[in-house]
Amino acid sequence: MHRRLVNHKYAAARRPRGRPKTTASARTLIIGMARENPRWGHRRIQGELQKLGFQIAHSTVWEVLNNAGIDPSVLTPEGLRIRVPDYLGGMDPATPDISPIFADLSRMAQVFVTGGSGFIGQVLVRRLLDGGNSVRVLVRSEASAEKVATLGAEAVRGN
Amino acid sequence: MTDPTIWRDAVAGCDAVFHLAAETDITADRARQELVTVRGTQAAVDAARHAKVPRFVHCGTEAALLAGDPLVDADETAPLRPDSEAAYRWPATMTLVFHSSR
Repeated sequence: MHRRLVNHKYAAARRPRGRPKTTASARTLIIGMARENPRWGHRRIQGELQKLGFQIAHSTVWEVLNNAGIDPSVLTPEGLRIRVPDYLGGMDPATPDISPIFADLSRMAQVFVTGGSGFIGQVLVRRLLDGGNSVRVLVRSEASAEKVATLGAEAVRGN
Repeated sequence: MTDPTIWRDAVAGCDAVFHLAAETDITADRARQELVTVRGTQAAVDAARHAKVPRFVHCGTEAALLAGDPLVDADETAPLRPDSEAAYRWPATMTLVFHSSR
């Protein structure tokens, strides 16, 4: 009797705290859905999961796919959600061909980049480094400096 | 960013400067846009000229064009619809870079 009373009164203490963990089965399902349905965006995947009884935020879908290295979908002018590699025939829309900029150089270029830790900047820096160039990136924060160093570029501190 | 004296030396000897930095927070007020986007671009141009860097590549934003409408067959000649602070400032930086290239 006493135990039941205590259990009842302190039920809250026994409940798991915080947001429930995204289960491994949900993760597998998200990645499988994304692979099999390249035209599905994060919200579509979230909707399909809901039908199967999974209560998962679209941002969690994004997180799972992002961690799995699957590119996010983009909205084309026709209103279609498709994956970035499919867009523009496999060309990454964030990086047009930059090689003409260095066409007259017989050696690898030394390049200075501002905004190199941003969305487009990171792709640009990676592309420049892949091309064998030396890259210096202007950064404002320690977090950006680390991000840039991880890519293999030299971070230059600004203000 | 706006004080290139700190990082001017790092630009020296470079073959190209790619300027992508800008205020990307669409809720940033006009003064912040002016400081980061316009004055930051001026500083980057100044640093590149000072170091005699032969190439300056400036990345703008499509947000300055058609203001949220789908960008179908749009290029730099598309009409500007500056209905956001970010879009309002981009023409200023484009003009600045254009004149500096003269």
